[in-house]
Amino acid sequence: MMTEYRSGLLFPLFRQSVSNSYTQVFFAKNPVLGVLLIVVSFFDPGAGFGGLLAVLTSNLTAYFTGLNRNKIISGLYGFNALLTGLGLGLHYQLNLAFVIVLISAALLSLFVTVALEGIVSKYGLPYLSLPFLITFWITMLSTRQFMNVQLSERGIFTLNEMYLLGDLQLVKVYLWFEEIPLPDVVKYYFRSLGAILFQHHLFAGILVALGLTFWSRMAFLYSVAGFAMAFLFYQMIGSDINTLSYSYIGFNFILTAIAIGVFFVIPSLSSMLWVILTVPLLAFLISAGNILLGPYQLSVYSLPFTVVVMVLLYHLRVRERFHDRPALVGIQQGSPERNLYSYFVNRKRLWHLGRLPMSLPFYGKWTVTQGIGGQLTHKDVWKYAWDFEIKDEGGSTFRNDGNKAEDYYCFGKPVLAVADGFVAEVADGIADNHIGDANTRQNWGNSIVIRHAEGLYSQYSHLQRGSIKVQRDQYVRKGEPIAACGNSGRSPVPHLHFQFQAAGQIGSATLDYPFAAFLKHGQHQQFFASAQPMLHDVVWNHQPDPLPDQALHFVPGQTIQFEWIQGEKTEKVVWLAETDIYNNSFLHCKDSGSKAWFIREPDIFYFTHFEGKTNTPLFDFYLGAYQIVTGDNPGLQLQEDITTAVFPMRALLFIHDFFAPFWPFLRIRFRIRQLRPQGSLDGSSIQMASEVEFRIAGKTIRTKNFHLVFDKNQLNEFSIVDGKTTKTLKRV
Amino acid sequence: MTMTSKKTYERPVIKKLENNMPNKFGTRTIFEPISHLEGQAVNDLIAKYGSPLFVISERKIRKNFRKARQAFETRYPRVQFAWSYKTNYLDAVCNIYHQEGSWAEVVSGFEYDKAIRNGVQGNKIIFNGPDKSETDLRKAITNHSLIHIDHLDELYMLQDIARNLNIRPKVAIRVNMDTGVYPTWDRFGFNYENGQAWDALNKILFSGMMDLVGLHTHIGTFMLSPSAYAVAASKLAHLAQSVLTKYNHEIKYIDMGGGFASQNTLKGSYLPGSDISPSFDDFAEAITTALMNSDYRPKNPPLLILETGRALIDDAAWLVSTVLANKRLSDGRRSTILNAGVNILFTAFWYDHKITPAQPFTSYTEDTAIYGPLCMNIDVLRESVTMPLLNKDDHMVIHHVGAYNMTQWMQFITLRPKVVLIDEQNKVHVIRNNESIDNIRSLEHVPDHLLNFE
Repeated sequence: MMTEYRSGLLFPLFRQSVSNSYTQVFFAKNPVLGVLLIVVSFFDPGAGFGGLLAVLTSNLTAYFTGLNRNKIISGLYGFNALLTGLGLGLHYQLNLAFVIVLISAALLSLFVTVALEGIVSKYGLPYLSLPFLITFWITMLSTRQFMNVQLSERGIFTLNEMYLLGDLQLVKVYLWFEEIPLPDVVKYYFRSLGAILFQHHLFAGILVALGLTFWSRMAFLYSVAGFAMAFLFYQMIGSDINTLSYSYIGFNFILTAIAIGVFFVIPSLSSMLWVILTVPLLAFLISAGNILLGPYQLSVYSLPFTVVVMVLLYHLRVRERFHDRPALVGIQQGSPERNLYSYFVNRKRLWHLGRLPMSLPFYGKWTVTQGIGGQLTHKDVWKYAWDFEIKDEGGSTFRNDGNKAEDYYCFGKPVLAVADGFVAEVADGIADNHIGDANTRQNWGNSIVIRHAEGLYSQYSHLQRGSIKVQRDQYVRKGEPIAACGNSGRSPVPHLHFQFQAAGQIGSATLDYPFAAFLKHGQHQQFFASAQPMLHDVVWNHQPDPLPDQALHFVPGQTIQFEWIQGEKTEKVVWLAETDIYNNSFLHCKDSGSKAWFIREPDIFYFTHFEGKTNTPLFDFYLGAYQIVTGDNPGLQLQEDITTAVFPMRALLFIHDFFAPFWPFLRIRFRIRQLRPQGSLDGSSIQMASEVEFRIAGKTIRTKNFHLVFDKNQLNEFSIVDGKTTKTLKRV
Repeated sequence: MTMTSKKTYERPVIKKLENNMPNKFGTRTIFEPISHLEGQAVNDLIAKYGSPLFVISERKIRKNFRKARQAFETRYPRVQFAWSYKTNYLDAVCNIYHQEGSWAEVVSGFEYDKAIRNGVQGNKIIFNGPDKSETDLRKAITNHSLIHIDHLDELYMLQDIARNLNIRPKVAIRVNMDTGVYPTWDRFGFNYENGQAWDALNKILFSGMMDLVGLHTHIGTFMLSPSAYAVAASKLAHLAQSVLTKYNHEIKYIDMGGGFASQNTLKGSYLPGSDISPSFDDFAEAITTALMNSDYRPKNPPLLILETGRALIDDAAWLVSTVLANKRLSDGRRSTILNAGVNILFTAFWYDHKITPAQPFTSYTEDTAIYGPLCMNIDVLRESVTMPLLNKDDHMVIHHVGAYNMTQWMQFITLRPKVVLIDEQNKVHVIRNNESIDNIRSLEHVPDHLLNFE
C-alpha cells in the first residue's frame, strides 16, 4: 500500500488534490465537477493560470511542510488559495512580478487557512473562504504599492479578447449565449454561479450549474431556491437585483443555500426554511459590508456567506432540543444525497454506536413497573429511571398472599452489574420493609453506585439487606452478581430501582442513557440494539451465540474465498477483510474494487455502506447480510431500511434526489429471520433467510431473497434468489 | 311449609366411637367434590370417552413449565430444560414441552426414536441411561446428540464407533456422588468420591476422539431436600474446574438431572406432599447459588440443564374412574372397588394418591379401603382413607397422576383406557386411544398345531 502511494506523482493522489481544491469551493469532491470547474476557470486564461498556480503552490507547500495528507487530498488546503489565485489572476497582468506576488499570496492563504482552522475547529466550525477573504484583501491593498504588478484590462474589453483567443466564431458563440432569451433571474443565477470562480460569462455559469447538478441534485435545487428567494426579497424591499449581478455577490446566496440547506445540514423542509432565513441576513451583510469596505475600494466578496454560515452552524450546534429540525450532518460523506440517505436509515439504526453497551441488571425476564417519567417517583431530575419486577403467567408479582417480601418473585433474585466499572458507593444495613410500608427517610434503601466511565454511573436501589457482595472501589465485571433485589428504602413492595447518572453519589440526577442488546417479550419477540424499555415491557438480556458470532468475526487480513455458482458457470470470488487508518472495517473485493463497510458489535453485525459495483456478489452479500443478530433466537425477525443511495435504477434515483428532502418515494427494505432454532453446544448449523425489497412509492418492484448457512464457525453458503435465477456463494 | 318433601336416601353408617375425639363423628371431611376438570364435567368426559380415563391439562403443563423456567432463568444466565421422556412420552405431551423450548432427554433407543419422530433436532436430544446399543449410539453420534456416558464399557464402545464413523461424539459423563441423602444412587454413572469420574474424564480427554461438552448428575428421585442439589452442583463445578485447569478445556454445560419432588404424598410420609415438597424456587436457589459460588471460572458460564419430569407434570393429569361396588371387610372396614387399578396407576405403589368423588356428598364419612378391579391381592389404591359414602356408579377423581403412569402402566388382566388432553381453550382431544383386543392379538402368533382343540 505504502509503495503504491510513494510511486505517485510528487505526493500521493496529486490529481485528486488539485481537482478537489476546485470542487471544495462547492464543498464537493467530484472528479467530473472538478474537470468542469478547471475548464471554466480557464475561460479567463489569466484567472485560470493564477488559480492553478496558487493551488499547486498551496498544496505542495502543505505537503512538504508535513500537513495532514488526507486534508491535502481533500482539497481543504487548496481552495482558498485557488480563490485568491483566480481573483488575482483576473485583476493583474501576467508578468514575473505578478507570479512572485501570486505565489506569495498562495502561501499566505495557506498559513491563514491553517491558523484559522486551529481557531474555528474548536467550535466545530468550518473555516469556509475566510482565509481567502483575509489574503485577498491584504494582497489587493498591498499590491497597489507594487509598481511592477499591473492591473489587467481584460475584464473591460471581453469581446476583443475573445476575438484574439478564438476568432469570430467564439465571439458569436459568446454573444449567442448572452442573448439566449432567458428570464433575468435565471441569467443572474448563472452569472452569480460563474462569479464564484470570478467568471462572469453566462456560459461559465451554465457549465458550473451542470457540474453542480452532476455532483448533487439537492445542492443545485437548494442553490436555485436560495437565489430565487433572494430575488424575491430584493423585489419586495425595493432594491435592484442588478446590483447583485453587477458586483457578482449573488453567489453568497447560492453558497449559503448549499451550506445551510444541504451540506452541513441534512436536507429537509426545515433546512429550506433556514435557507429562507439567511436571505435577509446576507442582504444586510452585503449592503453594509460594501459601504464599509467601499472607501478602501474593496468588495465584500464571500464575507456575508462566511459569516452567516458560521453563525448559523454554531447556533445549530449548541441546540439542546429539536436536534432533527434540521439535523446536522454527523459524519460528512461529501455528498448531500449520501448524507440524507444515510441519515434516513441510520438515525435509528446506528445512533447508539460509541455508547458503552449496558446490559440489563438481572437474569431472566423482568417487567418494567415504572418507566421513564413514571407516575410515582421518576420525576424531575430523577426522570430517567426504571423499576423492575418479575411477573408470573397471570401477571401477578407474588405467589401466595403477597404478605411477605419472600412471596415476591423478584425478592432475593440476583442483581447484576450492567457494565464493567468501579464501585463508587455502597449503602447497606437498611432493613427490608414490611409489605406496604415505605421508608421515606432512607428513601433509596440499600444501594450500589458503579462508575463505568467519567460521568457515567449506574445506581441499583432497594437492595436486600446484607445481600451486597461488593465493596467501595472494587472492580466489577459486566454481568457479575453484585447484590439481591430487596425491599429497603421507599419500597412498599420488592422491586429493583435502576438508573444511570452523571455523578457518583446515591440519588444523583439521572442520565438519559439506553440499554444495549435486549429482547422484548410480546406477540413477536423484538430485539433492540439500543433502547430504553417502556412501562409494562417484559425484557431480558440477549445472549450471543458462538456460531454466528464467530462466523461474522472477520479478522483484518483474512482472505475469504468462495465459489460463485451461477447456473452452469462457476467463478472464484475472493474477499479481503481490511481495516483503514480510522479503524473502519470492510470487506474488499479486489477484482471489482468494491468495498462493503461493516461494524461488529458484540450482539450484532451491521453493514454500514457500500462502495463500488452493484453487480458483484459482494453487493448481494451487503444486501443479504445487512444486519444480523448473532444469537440463537428462533423466529426472531428484524426489519431495517437500506440506504436509497444503492437503489438499482440510477435514472430514477437521479430524479428522486430532487424530491428526497421532502418526499422520499424510493425505499429499500431489508428483512431477516432465523430459520432453524439451534443449540449452541455442537456448533453445527444456523440458517437465516433474508429478503430485500425495492419499493417505489410503497409498491414493491423487485425482491431479492437470500439464504445464509452458518456452519463450522463460518459462513458456509450464501444464496441469492433474484426472480427466477439462483446464484450461490460456496465457501472454499 | 305444608308440603313435605322426600329426603334423599342415605345409607346407614357404622362408625367406631373414638374416645379421644370430642365429636362422635370424628373429624369432618374437608375436601370437596371435584366435578369438573379444566371446565369439563367429569360425568360428560366419562360418558363420552369411557371409564377409567386419563385426563391431562395442557394449561397446567405450560403453567408449571413456565413457573419452573422462571425460577431458574431469573437466577442464572443460561438455562435449558430437557423433557424427561420416561416420565410421560405421549407425543402430544412431549410436544407441549418442545413448544415451550424443552429439549428431549431419553434413556433408550425407543425413546430416542420417539424424540426424533416428534421432530426434535438431533443435537437437542440428551441420551442417558445404562442401556444404549451400538445401533443407538451410531444413530446418536450421526445426529450430533449429546451422549451421557454411564459406564466404562459404553465409553470404550463409543470410542470404537467414533473411530469407525470418523465423527467426534459430543459426550458428557454421568457422575454419582454422596450428597448427604440416602440412598446414594451409585449404580448410574461414575462415582465422584472414589475418583472414577475423574478417571473417566481423563480417559475421554486423552482419547482425543470425543468432544467432552458436559457433566451430568441425577442424584435421586422424589428429592425433598434442595440442599442435596447444592452439594451436587458444587461437586460438578469442581470437576469442571479440574478439567479446565488440567486440559484448558471448557465444559459447556452442567446437567443437574431431575428428581424434584412433586406435590404427591409418599407412602409413610407424616405430612402431605403439598406441605413438605420444596418449590421450584427452592431447588433453583440451591442449584444456582452453588454454581455461582463455585470455583469454576470459565469464560462463558456453562449452560445449566434441568431434566425434571415429575415435578412438571404430576399435577397436570387426573385419572377418573367409576365405583364398581362397595363391600364390608371382615374387620368391619368399608371397602370400595374402582374400575381403575394398579395396572394403570403404577404410582399407587409409591404414593397415597389424593382421591376425591366427582359428585356432591354429605359430611358423613367412613374409613375406606379403595381397591382396583384386578383379581389380584396387590391391587390396592388406598389402604385406608376417609371417604364419604359412595354408591355404585359414582365417579371418582384420582389426582397427581401425570408422571410415570402413562409410561409404566401395563396391559394386565384388562385393556388400557383412553388418554385425553384438555387444551387451553378447554377443548378435549383424545391423544391416546384405548386398547382393543385386536391391538394385543395382532402381536401374537399361534402355531398351526395349536390352532384347534376339541
